[in-house]
Amino acid sequence: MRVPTPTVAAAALAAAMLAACSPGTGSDTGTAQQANDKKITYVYFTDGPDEQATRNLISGFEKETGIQVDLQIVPFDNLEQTLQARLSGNNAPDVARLSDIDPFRDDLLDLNKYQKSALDGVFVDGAKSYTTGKNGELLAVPSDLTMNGPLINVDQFKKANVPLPDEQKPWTWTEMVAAAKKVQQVNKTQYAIAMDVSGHRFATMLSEFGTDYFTADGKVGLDQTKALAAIKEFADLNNSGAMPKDVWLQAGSKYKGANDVFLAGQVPVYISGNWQVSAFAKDAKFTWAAAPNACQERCGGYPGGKFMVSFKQSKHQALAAQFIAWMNSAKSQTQMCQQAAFLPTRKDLISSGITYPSRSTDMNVFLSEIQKTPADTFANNYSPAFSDTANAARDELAKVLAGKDTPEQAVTVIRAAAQKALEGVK
Amino acid sequence: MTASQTRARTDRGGARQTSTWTSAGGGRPPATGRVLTYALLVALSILVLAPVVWAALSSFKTQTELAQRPPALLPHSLSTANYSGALQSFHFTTYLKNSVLVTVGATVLTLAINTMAAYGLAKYNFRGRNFLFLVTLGTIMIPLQIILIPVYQVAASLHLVNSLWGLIIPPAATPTGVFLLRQYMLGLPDDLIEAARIDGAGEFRIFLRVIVPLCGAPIAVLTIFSVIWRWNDFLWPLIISQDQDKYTLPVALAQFNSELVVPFNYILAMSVVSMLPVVIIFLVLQRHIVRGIANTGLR
Repeated sequence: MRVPTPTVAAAALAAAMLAACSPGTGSDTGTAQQANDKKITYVYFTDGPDEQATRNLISGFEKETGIQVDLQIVPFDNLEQTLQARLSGNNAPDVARLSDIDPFRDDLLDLNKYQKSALDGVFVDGAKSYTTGKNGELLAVPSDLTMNGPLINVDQFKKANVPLPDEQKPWTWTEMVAAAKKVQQVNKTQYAIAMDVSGHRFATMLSEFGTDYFTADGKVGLDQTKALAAIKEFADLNNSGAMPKDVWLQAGSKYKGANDVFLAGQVPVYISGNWQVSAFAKDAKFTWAAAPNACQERCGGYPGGKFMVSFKQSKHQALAAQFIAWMNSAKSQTQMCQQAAFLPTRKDLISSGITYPSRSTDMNVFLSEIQKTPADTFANNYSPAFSDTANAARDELAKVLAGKDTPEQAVTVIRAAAQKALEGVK
Repeated sequence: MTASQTRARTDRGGARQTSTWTSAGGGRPPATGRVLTYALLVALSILVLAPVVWAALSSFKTQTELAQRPPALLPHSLSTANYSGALQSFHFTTYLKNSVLVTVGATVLTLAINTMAAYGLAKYNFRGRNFLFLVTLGTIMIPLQIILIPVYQVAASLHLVNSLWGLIIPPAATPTGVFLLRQYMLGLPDDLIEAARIDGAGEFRIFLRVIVPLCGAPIAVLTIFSVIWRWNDFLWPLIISQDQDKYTLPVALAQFNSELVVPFNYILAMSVVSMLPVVIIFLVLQRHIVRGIANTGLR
């Protein structure tokens, strides 16, 4: 015991540091050595009901192909961290579900190499530029689509004798606000309209006011007058108490859903998205419905979605691509959408529609919004600069609500953030 | 509040002077200091207990009730829907087993490594001792987030990833523990060690038979720290354990956190379930823990 432990520890530490610097662990090595066993790993994060739906699909896949799928669920907040660590340790999963593929672009497998016939050109066109790599590779498959839109408390609307919005002739933003305020007065709810604390949900409002963070060809958008009008309206609604100002101020720089305010019956109109449908079907104690998005300058909602990817490091690339193709076949997507109340990403399913076992009308309201949604919103949401810009917008709006910045300043700040985000990805 | 307490509070001087206090309750009135101490202790324990009780009560509420403004203290009904719903995808026994294995394993290993390291740093003279000690201390200042990737790479090349060993071995050497034990060992007289050497004891025997028994107090403290650290550890287990059957409780709890919807009713229910083992262990072992610390504290 003459050799003191710390020396050993220090030597081990030094060795570890050197090992970390050694080359060869990079992820740009092209193809990893392929293994022969029929077992793949799938890193997943869940939004709730989709977990069981995914498990059902996986067991179908296992039965049909004899390939075993190990589903590994990680919390959404730590998804990127987990994957980055695993990539650095040359231990990437075979398949992963992502909401943002940009941090991993260089590590993703070209799915066209294995499943071009099944996957190429099948999915919603707006996502194409985002999922295509520098040399035309297919890096990701949009596995589910989300659509923003308002949900309304039907009971409260009826009590106030306010007509429900007509899907064929949607309300304008002004009409929606007026209706919400009237319902608020009669029912004595705390607020009239609530929105999630998110730059993505605010983009819905921006788009309805006729502008967006970026133009369709990827330059900074945000028309001065239109953006200013949207921000002013947003600030006025919050400052007058029609929107729950404290939800935005409280959240700080974090995403926060306003679903609890809606569930508590304290707001008749809640701007969120289709993912709330299955949760509300279970939790809401009142009659509610999905409503068409307001049309001010333009109609439609705002898209979002998740992707399935595989990695160059994967030791089962062919199986991974096969799994991704299987999970996104028309049959599987239909099953997934029905069980989890998701929207499909396949062009054929979007145009044919899906019969949902429950809340079908609401889901189809969201589904029909896809067609009304302007094309530039897809380009925006799938722009690599989107998430940084949306987060900057969310933080800036909080500053406007706190009285630190004027709406005019906010437009300038968000434009600058969009510019910076664009430069960052170039 | 009893009559005597009220009296003691409103009429503090008088209560102290009149030693012939006669009241229905009998006995001497409590001194003001004592009353204040108790009041403070009660207030503090309410402060500490409130969130726990709140969580336990809320775990029976539905999402709607959780969203209610102003919030109600009691749930509408003691429905176990949250528990049964969450337990469907929450393999509690597996996670509990992993948490226990990791906590016990890592604590034993931590104690073994840290006492030896601290002994070396405290009682042996060798070149670079202070430097090594400073290096050890310096690592306190580096958070895991910064060295996560290199540490993960080392763990991956040692095939520790996705195994419970990967949760037990890498966090075992804690600089805080080494520091705590070394400072304590510095206070032990060298004469003891020399006397043992004269009696012919080997170095390892001295360490085991003389030093370790004398370090009861800091070892107890480090044990408690280590158990708390490992039980609550989140980031490292999250990165290392990949299969769900290797998850510890905190990692498993976080699975419910999704991008768009956070089911707080499930999280609350499972938090309560995860708290139970700790509470039960503490209730059963309370005496031993307190007495153990008190005894060893006397040295």
